[in-house]
Amino acid sequence: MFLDFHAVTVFLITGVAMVCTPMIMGVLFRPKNSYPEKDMPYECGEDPIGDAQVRFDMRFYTIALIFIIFEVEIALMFPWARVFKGAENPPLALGAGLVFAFIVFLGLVVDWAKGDLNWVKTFRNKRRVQE
Amino acid sequence: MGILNNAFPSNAVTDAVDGAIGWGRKSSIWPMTFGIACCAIEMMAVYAATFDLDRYGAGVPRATPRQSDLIIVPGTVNAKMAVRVKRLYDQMAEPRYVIAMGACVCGGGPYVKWGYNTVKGVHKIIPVDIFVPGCPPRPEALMDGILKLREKVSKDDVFRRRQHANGEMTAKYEAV
Repeated sequence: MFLDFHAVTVFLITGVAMVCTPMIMGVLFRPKNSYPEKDMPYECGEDPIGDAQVRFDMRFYTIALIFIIFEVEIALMFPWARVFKGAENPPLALGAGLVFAFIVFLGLVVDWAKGDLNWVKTFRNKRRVQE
Repeated sequence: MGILNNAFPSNAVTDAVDGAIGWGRKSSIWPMTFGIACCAIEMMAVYAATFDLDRYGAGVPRATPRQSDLIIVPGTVNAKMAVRVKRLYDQMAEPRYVIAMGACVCGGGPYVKWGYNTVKGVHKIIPVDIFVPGCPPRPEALMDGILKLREKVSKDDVFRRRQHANGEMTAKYEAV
């Protein structure tokens, strides 16, 4: 049974060799010359400022999710326009599109009502109310 | 690492192998995305479709010095920029090549007498392989510089270690 897969074995060995051979050749032949200037981060020649791993505000996550609302809306408007091109009942087609847009827009309204569109003020106010 | 680099004497076999490697290397020069002043406009024209540097395999500028073999210094290098040019050259991996493009970079150009802040030739801070004069050089002139660099790259030593005309052996790369 193992021999039935000899083609796969040859394929695997060839694939591994095709990757490993150039890498080993490169290690053997390339000049290695390391010094601090070369090892420092590339910042277009400037002195690097701060650390590469910085923290992002979690509120960017909310903004990104809100962006998805508009993205879905636009992405699904194109097939809607294509499908209902030359429709027999244009008002019905328009109504269907508006209903869809309204349903998706409700998500934005909910975020708006909860104050997620405000960056700082709402959080402070809520905290004060809770305190 | 690199134990086989420049490890063999020059003979028929290593000359043939180095010739083949040199042919491959000269046909795949990666320049660095780097422009300083007006010469950079001519350099962009060389990269673009009309002059088409890509037919020599050098038409795709890399966005980082780690991946590039060639730095074209196009434009006036002033004292503030010289530090950056030196650092960018230092961050490139060996073997690395430099083309000095334009009169300012070759020797000061119009600023040679009164330019108090201009580096009079980029060869004062980094070793230059090819000088391309002109103010700014025509795209054909830069392409001629690339062709000259191709000749130089194809004659480099990868396997072999040989004595050159000036009596020196092939230079090994050492920490600076």
